[in-house]
Amino acid sequence: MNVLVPIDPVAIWIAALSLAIIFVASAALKLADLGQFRGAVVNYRILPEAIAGAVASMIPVAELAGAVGILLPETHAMAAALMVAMLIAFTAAIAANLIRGRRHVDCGCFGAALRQELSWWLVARNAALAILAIVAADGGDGRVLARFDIVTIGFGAASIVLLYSAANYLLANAPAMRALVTQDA
Amino acid sequence: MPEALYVSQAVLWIVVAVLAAMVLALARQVGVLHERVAPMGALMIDRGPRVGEKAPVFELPDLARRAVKVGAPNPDGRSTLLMFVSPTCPVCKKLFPIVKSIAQDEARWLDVVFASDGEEAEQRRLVRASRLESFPLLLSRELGMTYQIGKLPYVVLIDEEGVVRAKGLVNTREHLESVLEAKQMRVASLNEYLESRHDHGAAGAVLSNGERGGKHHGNG
Repeated sequence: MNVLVPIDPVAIWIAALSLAIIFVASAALKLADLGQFRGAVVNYRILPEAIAGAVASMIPVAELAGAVGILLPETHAMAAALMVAMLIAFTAAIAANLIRGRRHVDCGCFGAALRQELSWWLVARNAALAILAIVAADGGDGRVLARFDIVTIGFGAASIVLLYSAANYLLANAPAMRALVTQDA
Repeated sequence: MPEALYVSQAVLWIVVAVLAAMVLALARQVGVLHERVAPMGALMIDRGPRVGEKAPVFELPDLARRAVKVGAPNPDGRSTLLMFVSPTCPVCKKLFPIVKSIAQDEARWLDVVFASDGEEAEQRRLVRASRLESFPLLLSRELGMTYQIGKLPYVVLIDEEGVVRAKGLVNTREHLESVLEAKQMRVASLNEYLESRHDHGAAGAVLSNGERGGKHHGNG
């Protein structure tokens, strides 16, 4: 399936590998403190509390399924579609609360491990992940991978994952930074 | 020539990955530094009424419109555990059963009072969902401002004479118990108690944990 244009397999593999690592990590962090994550989902005030708990348990499972599926040739397009769907749902929930003015809600993206308050940066971040997923869904242009491509894929995915984590730490620090700046002013 | 490009490319990738790792490490370090400095860090301890000082006296209606006095000397010799919560704080929900069991165990000498801020309907929902009907819940912005509450759940222990005996961010049963211990051990403040333990080399790690361990979970 070529969503847009045939893309070089190296780009596809970099996108798929990065997404797989990112989704496994965020699922693991949510599962580590599921109670906290349930609380975060309830706090979004999108779903009735009774359903929110069940949805909260399903999200990490779906993330894991997407992460595994995107690495397998037979399921990678379907898994990428699942990821895009999840990202759209999460982003809609974030945007809805931002519009309602409820910024001080925990994103819940990484369970209890890293708390981020809601901001439009999260919307931009999820959009970037969705672009990666669309690239990963591509069927490729048929080029056969050379041995050196493995180096590019490995280091490319590692760099994306590291920069993604760094961006998330910066977002988590943002409220404290803002408080410091206004205090000095 | 292609070999030279391979080598150059590989070297560049390694450099990019190392740089990305360093950016990540720096971002984490910035987070740690934020925790150590203002406004949620060490300074918070010194804001609001200090441990050992008289608590400001408030008389506020709870959700059931009963007047509740906080901070005044208690004629029955009972202490008050004032707990600041909010409907949007997941850690608070986790702590409610623990607080209830502590309130039961310490019913001899301790009253538990919750304080929150915001829409009343949401507070009622919180009380119903967490079964807090037997405790007063005060709705007051002023109370939170006076105690300079930055993160939740935050507790303040006020003794029978209306003196603040301990306060701090709580995330676990251990944090809550350490606050009550400050009173039961008859030390002037939690800090002093923890410091004395630290001096004996007993529990330096527990010290920093009890005092600041909960920072990550605060929810403004």
